[in-house]
Amino acid sequence: MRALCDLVVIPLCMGLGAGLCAQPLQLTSGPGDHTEAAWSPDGSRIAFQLAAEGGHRLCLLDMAGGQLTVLWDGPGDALYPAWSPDGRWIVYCHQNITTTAVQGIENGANLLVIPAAGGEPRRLTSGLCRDYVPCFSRDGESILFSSTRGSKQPSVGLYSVPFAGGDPREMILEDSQDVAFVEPAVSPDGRFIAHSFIAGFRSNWAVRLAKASDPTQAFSLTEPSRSCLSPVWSPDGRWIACTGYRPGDEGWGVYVISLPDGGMARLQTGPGNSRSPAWSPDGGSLVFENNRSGSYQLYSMPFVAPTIVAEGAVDEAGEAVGPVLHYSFTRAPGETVEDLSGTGNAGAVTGELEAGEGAVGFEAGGSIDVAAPKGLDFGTGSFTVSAEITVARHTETLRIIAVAQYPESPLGWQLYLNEEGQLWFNSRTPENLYVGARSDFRVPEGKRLSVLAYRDRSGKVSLVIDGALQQTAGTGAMLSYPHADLLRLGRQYNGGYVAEGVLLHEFQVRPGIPGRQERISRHLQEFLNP
Amino acid sequence: MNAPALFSTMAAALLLLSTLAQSQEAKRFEVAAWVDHFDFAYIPRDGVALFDTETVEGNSKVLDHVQEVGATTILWRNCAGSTMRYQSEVESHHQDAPLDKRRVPDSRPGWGWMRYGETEPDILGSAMEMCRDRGLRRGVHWPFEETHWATWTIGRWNMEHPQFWGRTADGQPWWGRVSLGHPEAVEHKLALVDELLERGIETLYIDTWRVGGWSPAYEYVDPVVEAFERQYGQAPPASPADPRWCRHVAGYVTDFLRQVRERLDASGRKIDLMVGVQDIAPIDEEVALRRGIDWTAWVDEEIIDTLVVINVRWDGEDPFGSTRRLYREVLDRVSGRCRVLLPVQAYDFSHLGMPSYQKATELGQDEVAKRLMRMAWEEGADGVSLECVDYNNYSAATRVALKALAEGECRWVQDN
Repeated sequence: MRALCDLVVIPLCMGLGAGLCAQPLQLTSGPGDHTEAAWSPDGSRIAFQLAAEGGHRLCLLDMAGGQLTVLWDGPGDALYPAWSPDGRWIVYCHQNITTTAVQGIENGANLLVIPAAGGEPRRLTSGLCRDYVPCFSRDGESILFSSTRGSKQPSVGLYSVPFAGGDPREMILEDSQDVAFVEPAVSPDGRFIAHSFIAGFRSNWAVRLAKASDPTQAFSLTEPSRSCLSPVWSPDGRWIACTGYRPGDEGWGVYVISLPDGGMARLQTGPGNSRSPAWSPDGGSLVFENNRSGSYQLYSMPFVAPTIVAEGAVDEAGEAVGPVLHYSFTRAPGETVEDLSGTGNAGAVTGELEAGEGAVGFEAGGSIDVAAPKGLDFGTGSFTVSAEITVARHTETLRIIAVAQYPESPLGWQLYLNEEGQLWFNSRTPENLYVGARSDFRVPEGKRLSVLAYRDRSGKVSLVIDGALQQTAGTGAMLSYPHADLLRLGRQYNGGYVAEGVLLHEFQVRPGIPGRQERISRHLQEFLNP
Repeated sequence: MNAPALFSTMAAALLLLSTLAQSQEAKRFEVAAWVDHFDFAYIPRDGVALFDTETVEGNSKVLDHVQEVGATTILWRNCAGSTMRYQSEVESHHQDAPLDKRRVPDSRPGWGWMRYGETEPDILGSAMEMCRDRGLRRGVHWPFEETHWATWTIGRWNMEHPQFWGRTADGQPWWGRVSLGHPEAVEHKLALVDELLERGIETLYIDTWRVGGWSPAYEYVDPVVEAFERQYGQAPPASPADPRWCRHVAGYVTDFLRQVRERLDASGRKIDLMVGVQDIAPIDEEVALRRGIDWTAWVDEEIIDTLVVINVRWDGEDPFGSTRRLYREVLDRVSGRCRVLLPVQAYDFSHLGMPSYQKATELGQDEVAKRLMRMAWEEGADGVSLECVDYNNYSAATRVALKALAEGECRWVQDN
């Protein structure tokens, strides 16, 4: 290990303590990009990679004195340093290829560990694959990393390898083109792994939480409407910081996601792209890379918990909106069903309904009808249908849960189960053609589901079930809805397709689309604390 | 006739012959072969790769193989998507994963480890030199915007500038794919043009078929939307197939090509701008516009030197007859305002290439190739385009047949 002379360290933050700095402070300056910072467990040093002539070096920045040292500067690229919990080791990815592919390559990008005090690296993995973005487990016994080692397609899985040495073990892999689980980060209590995830050419990077005991059980913290990656946990486990971009942003920025409610906010890091945040061990500061100077340099800033503005339901003008119809079946209805929205859309019970356990059933062919319901004249605007349902049993028939009938469009919009037991929501084109969104799965029997179905103002119809946006959406649903003739729950407007085996707990209709909090908050809490 | 008079007459005759020859030389029927060395990169025989495409020697063997079709022009591939296959200073390279963790690596054996960005000497420069030394017209095949359906083709500049990504009507950004509606994105691509010019190209061939998923559906970005609102006084239609929206978006592609033209002209050299379009006949503007393409505008404005027809939508009931009618329709529409190359296409992504002709006619590939090339020549095209000359996808018999026509019957452009 040697002192690095060609960099200038700007120690503005050092003597003061990062927490006193109101603005991001530049920690490094010099030629080449300084990226992928990782704070040591005792807070005294930051490891990072430095792009230099001939490859990437591993460097350490001493936070007290501002001294920079090179930990490794051999041939090739040393990337993505991560500290062991005891601060004695740094694991990193190393790649050094000097021949053509035809001439033969023995190793690709593999993991090495090096003493943080300096010394010889030890090879942890080998083979012609790409092992990268490692992190230590909380007990320091193993290392989690991303790798192509099990892939036949361009895909990346999550693996672990014992720190003492041994064979890597696959944790999760979906070997399809462009499906990648990257940048694992273990939660402070060790129960969850946050990671970046992408699935397909047209998707966006998302931050997901997976259960450490079974990484196939996962919850997406971010949605395709933004691109997010590089998650890191705050030491208290209450926040995840990540790199993010949302349309309207000037470029990449540092976002924080609050747990367990899932609220998101972009931190003010100043001009330029800000990426790859890392927490100080006390959670009081974040270090990140920013390119405002022309190259990426490291900056730190105090972390002050931002006020998360709830992204609630909004109408076309961005105003918060409430339901125009709201039924709750916690109590059995009589001849009518009270409309809790205050709009006056009380439902008339037609025929016989089953009631009990906070839900109504339609087994006997009964329905709930609202003639000429108010507030369902959405025009070409957005609207949302939300429902809490349980499918007690499947049939092999089509079952209408809700249908709204309009003068020239008797099937204006519908929520229903198809013959295969998948849930659908549909709207219509101006030509009155069907446009639908479908659940990714056959609805499980006996499980209460929270359903959000909506058409946005661009004509896209979407379906969210238990906080998960379903893959199959529809576009072009720009039918202009006039005043409705009828809203019916439990069967088709003309009486057919009875919703046998379906229990309805709650039902709402409103203009606008649901906000992020509504889509994910409760479900995230259930995922974190089942 | 005295000696001086005889000498003078002979000199005049020689000059006339020379002029005629030059005139004919200028009208050599062109056989333009698209070449991607990457497609030769992993062809093992008895455990040994036939071509080491990271070396000059390997690429020389690639060129040997390609020349067996009688190629007069080489259109060498410079990129995959926005990753470059030469030492680009402007963009990143195929092998940059995992240096950039945002890119999902190409994990395929062989192909995944190609390091074209580090090969000495520069691959594209050396390929152009080889073409020059062999008397071939040298060009670059540059697929329009983002090609392929894989994230390993996304370049660093695009990843670094999410604010320029394409966006759907409902606001979803398209990871890593920039919109030509942003002047910064256009300027970046023009910087790539400069790099190509530095490598001695004579032809820049931009292929608009290989658009990946690019389409008007992803052009709902602020500058394009605002321009639409200014022009029409209303928000753009949500349907990306709306003819007004498609025409509006196509204007950005045309403007991009206009700027490429200016950049080529500013080099002080005569650089041909070729542009390839597919499925353009029967001439159906709406179909083309749905891809954000308005090729007739490029011809009318004389932005391009050569129109490359990648394929035509022929009729399975009358494969060659309908093909001929479509060729005529294109040539009539162009009416000599630019050169036209017609397809002898080995690829069959659109089910309009030679494999589909073979299926429809039960003829061998060599016979189909001969008929298509001869038809292009008879109709007065300036040449044919071969997409793509990979290892043995034009069979040995086809290569012999094409070369025989190129150097014999079809050597000179028909003067119709």
